[in-house]
Amino acid sequence: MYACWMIFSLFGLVVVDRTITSSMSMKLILPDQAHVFRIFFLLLQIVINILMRNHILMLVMGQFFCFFLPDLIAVIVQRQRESLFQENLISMLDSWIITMRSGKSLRQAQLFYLEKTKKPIQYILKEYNIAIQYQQNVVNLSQNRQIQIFFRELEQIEKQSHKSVERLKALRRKLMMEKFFRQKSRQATLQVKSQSLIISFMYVGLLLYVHFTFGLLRYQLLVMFSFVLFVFGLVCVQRMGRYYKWKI
Amino acid sequence: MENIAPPLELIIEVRFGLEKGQALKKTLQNYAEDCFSTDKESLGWRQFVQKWLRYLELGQSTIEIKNKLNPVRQQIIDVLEMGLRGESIYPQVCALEDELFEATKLEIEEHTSVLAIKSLIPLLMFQFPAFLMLLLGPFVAQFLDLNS
Repeated sequence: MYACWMIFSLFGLVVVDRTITSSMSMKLILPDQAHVFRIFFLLLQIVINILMRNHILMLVMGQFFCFFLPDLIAVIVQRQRESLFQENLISMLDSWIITMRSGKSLRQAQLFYLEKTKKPIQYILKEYNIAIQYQQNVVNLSQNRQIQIFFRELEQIEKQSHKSVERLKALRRKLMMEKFFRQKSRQATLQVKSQSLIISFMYVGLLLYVHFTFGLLRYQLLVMFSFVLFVFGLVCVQRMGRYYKWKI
Repeated sequence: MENIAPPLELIIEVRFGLEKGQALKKTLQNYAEDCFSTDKESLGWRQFVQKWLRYLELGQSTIEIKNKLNPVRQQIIDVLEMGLRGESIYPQVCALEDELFEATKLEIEEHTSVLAIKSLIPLLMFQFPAFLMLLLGPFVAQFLDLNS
């Protein structure tokens, strides 16, 4: 038992170091912050190890959770960065076109924009620039379809340097049209989704009321039939909103 | 429904391809082979475009496969065939894009206005009875127990 605790305690210290190093490599924390975090969390881990010496299972579960935590946070942070990048695509192209109209090259326009923009967008643009410099595949930089298409088109515009402004304008036009129709389509489905959500909350509330007033176990068949009917109605509403066959 | 109508998607791609100086055939081939789309209808339309391009390459008649399309899509394919024969189609593509833009916008607005009413049907036929069943069922069951 004591040997198990010692082994898992040491593992816990390794997990702390690995978590801090991963967070630093994923740019979740700065290098000078990493040193402070490392000392703080190592001491915290030692205290937790001592306090949890009689609950080894919980200690191990907590350590495994901390082991995978940076990857989980990195996925969430990357998705948020990509979402922000996607929202700013059109304004980014506007900025580049205006800068190029004033006589600067595309590269200069990109660097000028990079200095002024928000940090999450900077990270993604820097990754793109590095991929271009080392001639890597820019499509692999993101899982987001629109960003992949954007990077692919941008790479082609950079490779063939003639008529860059016109091509950027054409790309902006294409993105604006897609955004317009995506917003219109979402408006159609948003109403249905919000209606479904409110109805579902009301149903769950009613279910809880029936449980606390009458007890669900006494009326199992009734509740089951009601639940199946409700879920079927919900599925029908969702399908109605999502699946549409275009007439044109 | 969160994607653009497939014909409009094709015309936007064609216009974008022409404006960046890419050959029409290359643009159409890229569009047909694009694996980014996940929408079923869009994939079906791309498969049709692939099939149509294959027929053209083999010199086969495309009238049969075009007849299965609605008039709007037939018109688009006719314009693209003109382009592949070497004629200039940029003004026609721009005009088609404007027309399709308006038509798609109208269709989405119609769908949005009708959807609110259509979604009442499953609500009234399934969800409302489910609510009533859960609300009144226990009371009715207790009432029947008392009487018996």
